[in-house]
Amino acid sequence: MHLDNLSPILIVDDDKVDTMTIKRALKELNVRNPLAFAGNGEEALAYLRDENNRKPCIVLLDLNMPKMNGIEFLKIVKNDEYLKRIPVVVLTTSQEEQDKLESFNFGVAGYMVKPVDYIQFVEVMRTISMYWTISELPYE
Amino acid sequence: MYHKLLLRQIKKYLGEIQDLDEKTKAFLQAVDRTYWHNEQERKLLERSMELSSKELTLANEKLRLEAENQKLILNKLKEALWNLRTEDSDLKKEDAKEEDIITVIDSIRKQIIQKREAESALKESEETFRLITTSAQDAIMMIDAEGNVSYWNNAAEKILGYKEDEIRNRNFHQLILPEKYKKDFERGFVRFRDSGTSDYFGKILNLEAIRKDGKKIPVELTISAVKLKNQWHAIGIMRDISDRLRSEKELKNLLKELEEANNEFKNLTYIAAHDLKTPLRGIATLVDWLQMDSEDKFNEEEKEKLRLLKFRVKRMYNLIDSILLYLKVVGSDLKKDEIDIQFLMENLLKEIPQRKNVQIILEKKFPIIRFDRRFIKQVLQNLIINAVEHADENKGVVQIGFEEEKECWKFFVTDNGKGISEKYHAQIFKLFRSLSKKVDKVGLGLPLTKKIVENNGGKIWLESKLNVGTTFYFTVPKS
Repeated sequence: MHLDNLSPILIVDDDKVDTMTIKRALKELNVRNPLAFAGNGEEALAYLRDENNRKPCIVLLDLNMPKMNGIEFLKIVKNDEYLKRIPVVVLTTSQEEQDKLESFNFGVAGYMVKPVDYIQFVEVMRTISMYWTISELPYE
Repeated sequence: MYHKLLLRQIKKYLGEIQDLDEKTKAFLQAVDRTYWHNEQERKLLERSMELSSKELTLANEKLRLEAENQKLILNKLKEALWNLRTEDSDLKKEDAKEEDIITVIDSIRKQIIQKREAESALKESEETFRLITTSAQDAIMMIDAEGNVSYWNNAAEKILGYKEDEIRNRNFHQLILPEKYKKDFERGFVRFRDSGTSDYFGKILNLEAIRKDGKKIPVELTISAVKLKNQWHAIGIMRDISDRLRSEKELKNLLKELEEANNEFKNLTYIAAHDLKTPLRGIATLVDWLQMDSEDKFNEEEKEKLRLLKFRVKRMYNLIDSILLYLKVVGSDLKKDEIDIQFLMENLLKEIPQRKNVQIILEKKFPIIRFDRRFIKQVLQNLIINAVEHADENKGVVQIGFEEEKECWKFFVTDNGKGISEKYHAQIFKLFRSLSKKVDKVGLGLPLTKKIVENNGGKIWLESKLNVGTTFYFTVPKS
């Protein structure tokens, strides 16, 4: 996805099968970016703030997670001068109006509901991938 | 001794007595006796005459006095009548006649009767007033222009603790009002005393009153004014609202608890339903992968088992989605927006799973309506999917259209299927009473549709004929 294929995609999700699904779908779509995984908001923040890690080109964020959920994570990231420009796409089970509202209040780049069918899941991932392949991003 | 008149007659006709003979003398003595007798009678007569004349004068005098007295009385009576005369009487003070007097007395008597009647009516109304104020549950009090209590009913005693004779003629504000109101009320009272007006009139004042025992109680007070003997008096009606406030508070707490419990319950249902989705989707995905990756490793029986597994997982997933949607419909406030049904319908028909041999006909161009944007799609989708599914197997027709009525839009979705027996018409809209066992038929579609339509102010119903087809109608108010 995007640029040099070297910037990682950060996947923040606590469910193993969902993580596997994203991984498999991206592979199927020939997305070659390295993948980084975090099981909750805290882990994701730690990854983003670790200077050894390259800044991800996109974050795929689940909302319902232990310790620090997606909204709490967004609140910190979008108020962080260094991190706030990283596009975050919410990928969640929740269809709650409140979750959508809060996510967009924190400037998410998209809000996708995980489909129950794997095939449809791949379609969602294809759309995300295509969009972020075309979209321009600032260097820093 | 002869009578002197007889002596003179004897001297004139007979001469000296000593010269007369004895016979003549005897005769003359008899005459003399007659003279004396007459003299006596005359004297008696004279005496009686004198006496009766005196009596007459006296009686006369008495009569005169009486007449004068009567005149005096008459004048006084006239005076009195003049004073008592009725407005319409043309009686003149000077020339009142006896008949007039009788008339006036008559009218006075009538007046007296009327007055008595009025008095008894007054007494009765006073009694009524007393009964009302005595039996009133609210304190009814009156204070005079000095601010002193001049009336105090039973309830006032009950509420404030003072007996009437304890508080009569004592200053109301000083005794009953807490310090914080005194200044305002006393200032207001000066104005009231002078003008009979006050900013407090016509309002229900919520304040505290001090009982005789010193306890403060919350009360409602209304004040009005009455002018008695040219002085303004204030009438206060006071209600002890301690009980009401207490029960209001209890009710409020109860409602709060109930709301909390309800919210907790809703949240629990929501979270439970929501959290079930992730593992279910995991199972569905894993089944998908088994089917995709290991197709050649399974025999037909095992493949069928996988299909059945996927089918049940999806059905469960749909059920959870419907429950979540139902919770959303039930628990959220209505938000109406303008919605272009034509545009929505065109997109919807692309998404709806098609069936062979089923033709969908849109009768005419759909209008723009006002509806809750979040749920309109659900309504149309449910009804159309139902119709497509139940349309005739070989030559299915689904017609979707609407009629414009005066105050609403009436939409309809018709299929030419087998129809629904009348005995199911009522239960079809009830929760979990689906007549079908298909994946997406979890028994929430029509109840949900009904709920959404009704939340938006419309109605939903169906008409069906066996082996002819079924039509679902729903209305959407225009305003």
